[in-house]
Amino acid sequence: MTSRLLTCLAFVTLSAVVAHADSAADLRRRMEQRLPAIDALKAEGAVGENNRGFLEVPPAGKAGSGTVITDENRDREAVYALIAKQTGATPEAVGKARARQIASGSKAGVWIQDEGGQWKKK
Amino acid sequence: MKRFLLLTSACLPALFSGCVNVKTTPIEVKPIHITVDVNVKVDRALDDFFGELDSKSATHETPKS
Repeated sequence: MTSRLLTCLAFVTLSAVVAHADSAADLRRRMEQRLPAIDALKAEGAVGENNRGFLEVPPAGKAGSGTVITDENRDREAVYALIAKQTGATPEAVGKARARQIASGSKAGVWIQDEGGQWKKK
Repeated sequence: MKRFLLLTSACLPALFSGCVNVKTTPIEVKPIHITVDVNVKVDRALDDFFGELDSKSATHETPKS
């Protein structure tokens, strides 16, 4: 009885791990598919990176970029939640850390919101 | 002699109470270490997830090796 219970528990744990891995892989795959569209929007200045790790239309940008921004932000939110769970941080802290990475790694011409909330072209 | 004993007994409690009040508070550095550790973990996890995506992005600099 105990061994059957342990086997069942092991199966449930393994399933959870596999589901988690699938979910992260799915998120990455979707983000990769969306990448050219986001790069194009960033290059034309229609969208920028805010200081919380999400895409946002900067003051000088134009609205109406379809569902790309919404979809990307939803997936980023899921990624930040996953990393927060792994590391013991909050999703907000993960988002801010990602915003800092993006700000330092972005090429010239990309709209970036600094930590004080000001939008600047890098 | 009697006056000396009276003076000593009056000063003794003051002397000891002075000693008792000397107390040092240890500096707590543990939470700082924990915060730094979490930040490092977060940066590493972000690199693991976004590293490949960033290298494929046309608007992101490829890290110099």
